[in-house]
Amino acid sequence: MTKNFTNFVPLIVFLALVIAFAALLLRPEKAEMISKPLPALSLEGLKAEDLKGPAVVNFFASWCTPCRAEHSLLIELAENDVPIYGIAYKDKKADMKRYLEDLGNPYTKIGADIKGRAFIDWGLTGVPESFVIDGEGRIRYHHGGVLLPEDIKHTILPLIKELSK
Amino acid sequence: MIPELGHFALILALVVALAQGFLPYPALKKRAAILLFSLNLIAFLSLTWAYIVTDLSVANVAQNSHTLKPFIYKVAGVWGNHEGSMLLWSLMLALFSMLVALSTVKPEGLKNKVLSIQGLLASGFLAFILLASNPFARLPFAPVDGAGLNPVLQDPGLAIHPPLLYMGYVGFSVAFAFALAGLLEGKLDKDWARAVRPWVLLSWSSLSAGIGLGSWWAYYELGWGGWWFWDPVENASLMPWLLGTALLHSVIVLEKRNTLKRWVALLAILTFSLSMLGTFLVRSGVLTSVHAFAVDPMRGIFILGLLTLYTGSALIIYAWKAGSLENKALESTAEFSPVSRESTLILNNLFMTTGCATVLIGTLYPLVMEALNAGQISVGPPYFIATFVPLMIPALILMGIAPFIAWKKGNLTSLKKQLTIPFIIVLASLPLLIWIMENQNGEGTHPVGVWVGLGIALWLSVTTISEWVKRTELKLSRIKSLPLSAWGMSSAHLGISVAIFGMVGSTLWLKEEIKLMKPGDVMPIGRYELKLEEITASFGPNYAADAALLGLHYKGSSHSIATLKAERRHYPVARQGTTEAAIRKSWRDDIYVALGDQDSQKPEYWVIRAYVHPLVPYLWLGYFMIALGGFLALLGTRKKKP
Repeated sequence: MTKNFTNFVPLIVFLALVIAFAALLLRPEKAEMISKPLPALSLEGLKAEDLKGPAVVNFFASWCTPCRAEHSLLIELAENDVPIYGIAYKDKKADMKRYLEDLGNPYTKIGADIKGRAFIDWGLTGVPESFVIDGEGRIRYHHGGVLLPEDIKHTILPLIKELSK
Repeated sequence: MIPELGHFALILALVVALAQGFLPYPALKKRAAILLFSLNLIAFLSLTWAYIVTDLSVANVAQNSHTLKPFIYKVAGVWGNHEGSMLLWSLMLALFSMLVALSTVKPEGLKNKVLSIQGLLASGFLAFILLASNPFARLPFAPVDGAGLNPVLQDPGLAIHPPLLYMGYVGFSVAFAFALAGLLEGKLDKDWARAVRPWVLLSWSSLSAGIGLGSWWAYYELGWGGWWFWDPVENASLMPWLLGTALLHSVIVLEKRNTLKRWVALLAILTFSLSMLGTFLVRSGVLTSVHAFAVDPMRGIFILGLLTLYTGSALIIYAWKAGSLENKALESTAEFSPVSRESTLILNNLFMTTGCATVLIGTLYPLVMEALNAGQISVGPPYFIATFVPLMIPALILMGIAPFIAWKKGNLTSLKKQLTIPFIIVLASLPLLIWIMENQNGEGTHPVGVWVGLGIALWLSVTTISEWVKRTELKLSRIKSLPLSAWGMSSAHLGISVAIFGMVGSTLWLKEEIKLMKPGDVMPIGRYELKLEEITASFGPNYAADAALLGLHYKGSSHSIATLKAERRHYPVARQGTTEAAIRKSWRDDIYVALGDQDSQKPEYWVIRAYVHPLVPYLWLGYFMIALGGFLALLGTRKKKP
């Protein structure tokens, strides 16, 4: 009987995985973080009181490929006078420095999230992720994953413009 | 017109695939498989045509191509995006289905079931393409020009990397279909193993080549000087490779010794399931990475549905039928002693599957924790280095020993005798090798890692070569009569050891420098010196570029070995930049120079970043030998046929 049961083990493990995936895919768009007061932030180089909205908060890392992909967009955003606060997630200082020297530095201020504390407090699942914050210390938009030119044009810039009014 | 033809061919293909899957007429299945491939090919060529002529009324072309793109990248652009790559996946699936239909698989009952299962697999993926990722969708108004292909993806290596990788992924569908057909027929025996082994070899070799090319591409194109990043998408290809490696070896046990039936069936199911999981992870946007060009939850749900349907049904069939296999396997011929080839191959399987499990856990753990609302955690390269690497050390040591051990019952005394000389050679040459390298290049960052890593690589290469010597006794007649499968094993095993030389050397002996330099400045690095000669501006077909010219010397010598040109390109259409590093390859090391930003205060200063990667050429040689070994063994299985 136990022999027969072991034949079912792969199936059971697989079904558990599927349920987890489905839950992940079907969850609402991380609504819980939006319009909430800013989460705690106390990093070397960047504290909660440094964040002056409307602005973009961008989590990145030098070891993260998509971060490289979106970097030129951030530079463009900075050229449009949008303040961007960078949070370097689990990154060595030297690596981060080289990364910014290499690709340019769009950030108004940079915090080093070496222990991954801010990553957890801000509810991230990976890097890159970006937030738009308003002047009253609230998150107004959360973007998981890499930013595309459309996101900047259709979502982030209009929102920043609206918040600046 | 032609895109509509492609669309129509796809709809017909779905109908044919369903017919191949469900209709019970054996005579029909072979023709269906041929027709299915032809229709897929028509669809694929239609899309290719739309790319070649840059038909901007096709949404897919408009989003991913551009009239100014060089011809080869217009063609490669067909599969450089989500819809097109799914079409390629489907084409490969149909290709394998046709190859099975045309091959001689006995008995017919098994072959018919295999073809039915492949028809069902194909219909699912075709339905996905037609319903959720139609590459032929038209735009109401054609734009003036296309958006361009991500310039990072404009590289010849990348043009062939996905097709090879897909051939590997999709090829495992044959083993999957064979496992299910074998379970349903109650026929998983030596003949089954002989029939399935060539397919496993073909998929495994293609996957190996695909991974190798991907790694090569990351190293030479992405400009950050590494070849493996434990990126989820890389992991998604590593996992089926590890299980495929286990499958490859356990199929041999089944073929020779008629045992491990349940295990082989389960491995075959899981290997293809992990290939599908890889597709799911990349395509669903559950994980973000450079590879994930489609981020659409609808597609994720669809692919998850397919994965659940196929893997779920396969595991139900397994749970239901596996018990009946076991009774038949309890024949006395299946016995073997703890010291035997069988045992070493089982150990190999344990290491490979455990390795695969650690990678799977590292890749999925953050996702699963989040899905369960248990908080968010992250897993980086340190996790993989701490778990995966130590698992591979005993596996590699064993890999050197296993080919010396006989089937059924090995002889420990003679094993010790045979391994004494290789062991002495390793002990003697290891310090010499390390001394030669460190004398000029400087010391490694992790001395224990250097000794262990190179020790293992040396052990594996010396034992593999001595096993070859033992087999051939260095007599020409015996070398000539050595079966191709033996050549394949030697090549693949030696390839692994050669690749490890490259991995250890390029990681632990890596030298890196970053410096603000003006023309005339010199940077010492490793056994070299770099002199910045000048910075120039130039234009390519669809980009503008800054280029740095650097003279390369050996340390302490003024004789210039080479002039290196490192570029930074800016693609105005896609508004993206790429780094074209200058690389000089030699048999000892690669020197790699990338041009960074211009200093904003002092414009004559530029950021120059340089790496020396010792032994990295051996990594590519190793990948090549691994894939070659698989292909040789594959040829061997064809030759054996009467």
